Amino acid sequence: MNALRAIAVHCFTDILRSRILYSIVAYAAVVMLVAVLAGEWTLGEEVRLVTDLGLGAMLLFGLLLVLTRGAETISREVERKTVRVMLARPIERWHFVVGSYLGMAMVLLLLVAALLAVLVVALLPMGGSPSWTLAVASWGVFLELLMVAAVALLASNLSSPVLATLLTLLVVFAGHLATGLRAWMDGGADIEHLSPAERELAAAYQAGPLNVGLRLGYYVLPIVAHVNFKTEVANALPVPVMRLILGTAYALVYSGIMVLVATAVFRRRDVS
Amino acid sequence: MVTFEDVKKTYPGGLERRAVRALNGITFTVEPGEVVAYVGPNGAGKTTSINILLGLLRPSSGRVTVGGHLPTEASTRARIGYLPERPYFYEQLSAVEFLRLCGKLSGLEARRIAQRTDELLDRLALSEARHRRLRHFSRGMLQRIGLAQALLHDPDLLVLDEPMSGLDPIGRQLVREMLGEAKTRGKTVLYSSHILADAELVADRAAVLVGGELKALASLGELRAVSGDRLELVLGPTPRVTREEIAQRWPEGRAVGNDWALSVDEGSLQLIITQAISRGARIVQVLRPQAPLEETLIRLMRQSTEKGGNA
Repeated sequence: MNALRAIAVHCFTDILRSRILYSIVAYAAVVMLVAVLAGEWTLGEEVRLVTDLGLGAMLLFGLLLVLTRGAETISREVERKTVRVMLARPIERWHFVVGSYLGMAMVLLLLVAALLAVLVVALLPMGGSPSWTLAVASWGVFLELLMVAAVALLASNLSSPVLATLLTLLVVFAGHLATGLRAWMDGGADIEHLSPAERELAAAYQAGPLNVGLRLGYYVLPIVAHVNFKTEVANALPVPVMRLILGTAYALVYSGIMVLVATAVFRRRDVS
Repeated sequence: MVTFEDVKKTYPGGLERRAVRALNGITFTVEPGEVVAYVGPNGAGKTTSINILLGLLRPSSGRVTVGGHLPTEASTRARIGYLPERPYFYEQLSAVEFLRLCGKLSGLEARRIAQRTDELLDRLALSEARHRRLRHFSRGMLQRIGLAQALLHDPDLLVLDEPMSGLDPIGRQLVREMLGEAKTRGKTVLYSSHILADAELVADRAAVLVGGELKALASLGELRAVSGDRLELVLGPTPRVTREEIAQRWPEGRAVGNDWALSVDEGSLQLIITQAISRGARIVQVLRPQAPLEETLIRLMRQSTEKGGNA
């Protein structure tokens, strides 16, 4: 456990010391400031607008951090050969993979907490107050970032930093579309407007291997809708506790599986 | 202590590259307390075999053990101190932070890490740079901090890949001393180097690797015998004898400026010197034209090339 903690703390401080994190925090603060200014131009909707933009910025800059640092967690260490000094020591390979992920998770938690604090401060002059739902929405953002970081970790294990970033971006994008994809696969999409030929094609799809393939793909994607509480918050609606618990469990299980796969891949990998 | 048993390693090919056989069945043993120089030209397979020894690479066949255990076991690696070929370390860490991280990964207690850090930084003349980030270190300083992390947990086996690389003469002397100390304390050292003269000063035996095959594994004395151990004796003219007269007596030599150089073996050196002095010649110098290891290595490389060419 000492090795795991040492690697997690090392990864955490490594990212904290990188200039990119400061840039991200600075840009996020600027975006939130812009949101505050924009909020002043809207009548009666300032709090809602700033909350919406603030949470969006939190996710965007978190994603930026994951894509710039998370997607190169392993590949960067392997390319720079720094990993050799670590793995030549009496640690297991899973220590390295899981420790790196935990370090990234700690940074994401810190980033979300810092941006939440900035958001709360920005909301105070408009009559907004720190609320449970705002914290829940931020928690949802953190959970989404955790899942993306897990995907990035696996991708960085499989390819170069650039490819890993692209792959992660693709998976995140697909993850945002996953709910719509599921509805379409289940036949919930409106097909009434389709021509007979198109309906025939749709029916063939429903029974064909593409459907099975897409369904498998669906379960591989991080379904971000499970942890997206922003809509409730923006509309001042309460988030059901069960939804919060299930969303959290989903994100943790999904991330755990991704990290497990990344560990299995890294265990078999030659590091030269 | 270290055993390589018919170790082969082939790097798989891809769409744009062919499969490469880096090691072709190497077998040798390093005994406890022994310092073995691991020498060979670029691409000989030294770093590949070291990576297998550290569990970073898996052999395609054969096996490597340290004290009877596989290096893929973490407990085996606890006994190994490793200095990589190029000191790629975490640049954003200071020297102390880097050694602390290495100590924690080796399972050392905080107090022990602090104590060893002080000792090693002091010994390697890095005390003043202890809080400086590694990105501001020179190549030689990085090499020394690399040696410090390899020695930090006082391992039984030191695996050093080009430890003299980037060091100035004082640094090289320091490393030689530390290797000598390790040897005195009964540590086993596997020492890969291109600087063969340095390897000669500390090694008991040399393993010569060429083209992924072990071409020689012998004590330095044995290698000297194999390589003939030729010396260069340079004779100079005096008022009593001209260079031409020296050349007539020893026509197998060659002119070097106003002097005459002879290639002689160590056994007949004394006789030739006596003869030269009695004829009035001046002894300008006696040189070892190439270090024996270097000579052996070059000879084995040539043999390997000729064999490859004939095949």
